Amino acid sequence: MELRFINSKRFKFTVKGTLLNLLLIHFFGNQLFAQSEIQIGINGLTCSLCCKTVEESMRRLHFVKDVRMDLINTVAAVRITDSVSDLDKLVKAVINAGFSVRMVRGNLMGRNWKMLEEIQISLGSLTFKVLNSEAYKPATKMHIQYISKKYLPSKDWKSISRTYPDKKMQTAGHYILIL
Amino acid sequence: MIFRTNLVAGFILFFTLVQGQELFPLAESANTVPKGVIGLRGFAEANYEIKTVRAWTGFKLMYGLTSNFSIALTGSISNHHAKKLPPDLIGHRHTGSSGTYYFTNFPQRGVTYPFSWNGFHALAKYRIFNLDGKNRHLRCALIGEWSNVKQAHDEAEPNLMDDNSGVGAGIVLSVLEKRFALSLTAGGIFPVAYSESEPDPVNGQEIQRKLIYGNAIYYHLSFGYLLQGNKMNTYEETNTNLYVEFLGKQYQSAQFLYNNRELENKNPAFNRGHYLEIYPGIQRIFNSNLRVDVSLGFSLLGKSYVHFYPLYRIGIQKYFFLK
Repeated sequence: MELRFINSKRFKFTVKGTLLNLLLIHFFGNQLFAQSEIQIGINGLTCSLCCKTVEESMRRLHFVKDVRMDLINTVAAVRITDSVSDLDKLVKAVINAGFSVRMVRGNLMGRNWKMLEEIQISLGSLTFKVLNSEAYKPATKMHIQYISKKYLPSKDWKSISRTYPDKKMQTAGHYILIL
Repeated sequence: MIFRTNLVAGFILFFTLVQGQELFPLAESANTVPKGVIGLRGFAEANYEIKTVRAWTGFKLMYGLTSNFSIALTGSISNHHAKKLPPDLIGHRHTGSSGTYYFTNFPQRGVTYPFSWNGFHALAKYRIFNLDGKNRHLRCALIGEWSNVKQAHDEAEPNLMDDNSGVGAGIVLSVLEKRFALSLTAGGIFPVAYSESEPDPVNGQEIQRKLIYGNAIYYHLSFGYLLQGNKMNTYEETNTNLYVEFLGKQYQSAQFLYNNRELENKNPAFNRGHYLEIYPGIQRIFNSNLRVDVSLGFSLLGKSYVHFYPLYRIGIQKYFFLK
């Protein structure tokens, strides 16, 4: 059984599961979910020339509004447009510049919403399955990490896969970890 | 000799103790040009050969085809060569009335040649693996070279970008840890023979002259240290890198054929050889893109016959990010 809520132009919020699961999910009032900035930790960066290369690579994407590079922590803060954004393309831009992605994080903005059990969030053409929905605490902002084999170093991917064995994480799958 | 040994040991110790950017002025690093990015590089080298200034200038166009595969094409000019092999390359001695004995002669030095077009040199680089961490990485790349340069090169040592046609292949390993960069390159050069013909001054018949160069192996060990650019919080901050690069090469002897007959070699520049050079260098990077580097080369072990020392080298490079 699948129930889909379209919460905003930016985001689709999809709930998938049994009727029992669905009974545990409560939505109150007007839900609004937004993802305007994504932080990408980049490995292999050592100088401002490297950073500039990554920034220019990401700026080529049509949905990227702005990129701010933190050269010290080697993190890119990427502001995305209202249009449907593609995280895979964003990560690929980093790789095309010759570097590796260490982590992809973001903040889901919303209000008056709860989620329990198994939920999925769709961002652009990708659907993300929440790994640790038990960590959710009602708030207007939810700090999350996007998990995919492409978004992490191999050892981190293996570590997370071992942490959530019941989720049977697929190498081609996309997941969310609530931080 | 002791001074040189101490100099090498001192550099190695210094760069081991301190913690750069692996934008080596001379050696190829294991990094490829980012996908879709065009790089332009102008570079030149010069040295005094007795009272003549021997110079070479190249213009390199680079492009990143994929995230780990890039290509580069270099066109160059130099005043290193005459249009044909030196006329006194062949010595001869009359052996009574029975005939003439031919041999290769000593190389010419200090002769002025006009600048001429060398040809093209192509390089392909494929990064086979990378282990990236925060502020560090270990990368390995394979490189392949091709050159159609066909100059009247009258030394055994092959050089694809300057003197010889041929192909080459190599492997590069680069390590970068915060401010410290290290790169090791090893490869081989497989040159194509040079041949020319000219009329015999006596009987007017065409004389075939062919120089068969030996293959060569080369190795580069480069150290880099980011001296200035500590804050890393703005693209406007100018970066300064210090480098010391060790460039070594071992090559086989050359054979000279005169009308398909090998002549006795009395030319030391045709002998096999090995040398190791040291190039201290400094690099400034402006606006996180425009690279300017200057290096000065000295002989450490042996010497190259293709240039005198010191060898002055300069390069300017910039990336263009296509929208």
